[in-house]
Amino acid sequence: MLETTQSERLGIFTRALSGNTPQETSADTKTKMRVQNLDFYYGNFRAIAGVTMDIPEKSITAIIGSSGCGKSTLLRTFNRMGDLVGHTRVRGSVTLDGENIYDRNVDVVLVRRRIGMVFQRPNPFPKSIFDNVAYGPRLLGVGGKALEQIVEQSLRDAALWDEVKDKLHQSGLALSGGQQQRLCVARTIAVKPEVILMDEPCSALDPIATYKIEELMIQLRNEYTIVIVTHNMQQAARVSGLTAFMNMNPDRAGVLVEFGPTTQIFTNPAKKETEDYITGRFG
Amino acid sequence: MPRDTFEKQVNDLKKTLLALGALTTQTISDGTEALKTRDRVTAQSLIKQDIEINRMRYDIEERAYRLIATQQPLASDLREIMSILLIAIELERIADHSKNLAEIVIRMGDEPLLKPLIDIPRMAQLCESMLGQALDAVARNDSELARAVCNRDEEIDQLYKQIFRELMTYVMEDSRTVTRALNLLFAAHNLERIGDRVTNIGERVIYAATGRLEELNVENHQMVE
Amino acid sequence: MNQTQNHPRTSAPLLGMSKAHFARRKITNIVMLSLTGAATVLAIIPLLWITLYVTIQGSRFLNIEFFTQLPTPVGVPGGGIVNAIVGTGLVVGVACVIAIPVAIIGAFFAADYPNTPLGLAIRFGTDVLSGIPSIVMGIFAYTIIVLPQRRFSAFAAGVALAIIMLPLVLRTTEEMLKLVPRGLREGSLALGASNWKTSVQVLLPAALNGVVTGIMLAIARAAGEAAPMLFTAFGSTGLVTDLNESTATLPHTIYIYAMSPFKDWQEKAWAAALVLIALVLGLNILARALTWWRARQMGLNY
Repeated sequence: MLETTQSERLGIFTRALSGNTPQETSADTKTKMRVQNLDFYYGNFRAIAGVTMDIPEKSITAIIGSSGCGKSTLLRTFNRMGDLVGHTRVRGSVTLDGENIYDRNVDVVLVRRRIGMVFQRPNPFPKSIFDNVAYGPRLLGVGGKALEQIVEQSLRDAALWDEVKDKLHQSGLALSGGQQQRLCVARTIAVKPEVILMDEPCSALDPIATYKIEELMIQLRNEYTIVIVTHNMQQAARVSGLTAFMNMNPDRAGVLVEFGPTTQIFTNPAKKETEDYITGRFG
Repeated sequence: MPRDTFEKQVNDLKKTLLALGALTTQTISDGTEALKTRDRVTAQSLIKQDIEINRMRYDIEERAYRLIATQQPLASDLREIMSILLIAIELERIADHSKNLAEIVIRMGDEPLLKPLIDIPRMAQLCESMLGQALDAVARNDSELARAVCNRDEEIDQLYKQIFRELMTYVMEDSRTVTRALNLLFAAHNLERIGDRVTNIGERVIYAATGRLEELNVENHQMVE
Repeated sequence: MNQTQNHPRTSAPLLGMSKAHFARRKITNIVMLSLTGAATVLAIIPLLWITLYVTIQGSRFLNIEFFTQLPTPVGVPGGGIVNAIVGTGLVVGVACVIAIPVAIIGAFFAADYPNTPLGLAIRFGTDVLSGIPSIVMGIFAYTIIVLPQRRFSAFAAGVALAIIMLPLVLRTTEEMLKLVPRGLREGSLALGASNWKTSVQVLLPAALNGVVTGIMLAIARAAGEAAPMLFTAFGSTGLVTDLNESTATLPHTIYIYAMSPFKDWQEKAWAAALVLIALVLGLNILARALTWWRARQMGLNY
């Protein structure tokens, strides 16, 4: 609604004058995850070199960069998904609320319960919609009425409830691509993680489905810390508060070139490398 | 380069902008000359030319919108295209101010000038030269030059104040001169506005080149961001 | 840009091609198509022939009694092979109970840790095992079970068949698990599920169609084995439901009847062969129907 009273309009003006725009990441935001001097190796090949970044709580941080620069690899080190491939090695640290997730005594299952992930291709389990969302809570021993409530709430939070409430017992695979991806988001938030990692979550979706996921991310930002890897610069520009630009160094290892407020990265990047990438004059 | 086509389109747009700039610069001297020589023919043609200038501005505007919509320019590209768009608007307004000079010429008819013109042509000359320099800054994306141009706006402001005071003395001496004095004051006022608009162009150049939004020629050169 | 000039387009007119050229191309096409068609027909001829022949030969002697009565001595008309049908069910059942869990758990390990020493050992071992002739399995079961117990038994036959089934089920399951999209596994792990839970709750259901097919093939193979039965189940003329007794089985019965010099036994051998084929085929169809129905429930096949 654009109808406003004179006093409302004045209020907007006063706020603008005092420079207090809501939803901007401010300096006093708490750091949720801290990445320090992170190196990642596949065998002897160093895929990530010396990445250091602080990810603020309850905000969206985007990682952009060209194909093969290691942005997905970096994201997968944040919940130890990189461990799944054999012969990998990590140096440096990734901390969640101050605890190093690569500590020898850390249970990787617990790491992944607190740091969820949504993947590039929607990957619902070949189970019913209900069972897909219930999967995580059931692992934690939730059942009965409580489980039904969690499933409904998660589907509502993922903006999918109205579309599926009458067919909860149909297969998750019968949904459209965009719905499947929102189902995967619902499945992820059903276990109430603190951080959600998204690995190019819209690359297999059409524009409308993409906007729905982006809208969803903006809603979720109030409760979750989100890190998204995306090929789509406009998407990073639309949803994120901070943007990290990664590139390959001459050894083909991924390095963090620039990390800063999204507005600045997209209007006035500090590094020429970033500028060249953002404006499409890469290489 | 992966974006040759896009780059060519931006360059073409900029060339059109500079052409518009050249045309606009010409209108300042034409307008002042018409005022000085009471040349109503030139004045008429100036008014007609303004239609052409407006058309050029809409052309630039439309092409800029199209580039934004189809190419999603970012970073320096975004700043450059936005600056071209805003500068085109400033140039068209400058041409409007020149047109105002022409309209004064026509309005005055055969009525003699209140006094021989001295400061007004100086103001005009200053405007012309500043605009020329500002266009150089646009062409070269030169923020330093843009800043230097903007500093000269102060001279224009001083001249305007001087003209204002001088005309006031005429009016105080003989209140019947008020219409003729106001005509000249209006001419000077238009030139003063041109100076301000050249300053705006300078600000756009600085934004395009550095990404900083600065308001120039405010008392204490205060930064907006 | 310059490359296009160095590499001109042919732009041959669509209708201007010479008649001879056109005809030759057409003929080549027809010849190749006929060859592939002929090869396909050649491949299904034995299948159709066997099925038809057994059906024609066997169906003449099939009747209700054949399924419900015990065998009669030579020369006595009537009688059936109910003991062999039940015996085969018993022996194959034992084999399934032993082989399937072991094979599936082994397959999970081999699929999850393919490059570990144990993973490699499993794969190598099952390859070797599937190459061993079935009669050797019979002798093996005879040595470790029949000899110490001093009696032939359905259980010993089940063990022999289990060893035959094990590599088949294990390798098909392993291959099917490998075909499950990596995303499903990662999706489950990312929710904080353990490897074990992921395997049982996500991977196995996703691979179930293939796994069931593998089991069916293994059962078909095991149910048709006659050689190991000679050393283990041995045969019996009575209806046996005790695992510790020797029992008749279909392949063994076919073998005995077919080898006998008596006309009526030879005829019964055809009928028994038909029953065996029908049984295996029926089981296959049932399993396919079940997995198809389940896949439809889940929306799509992975």
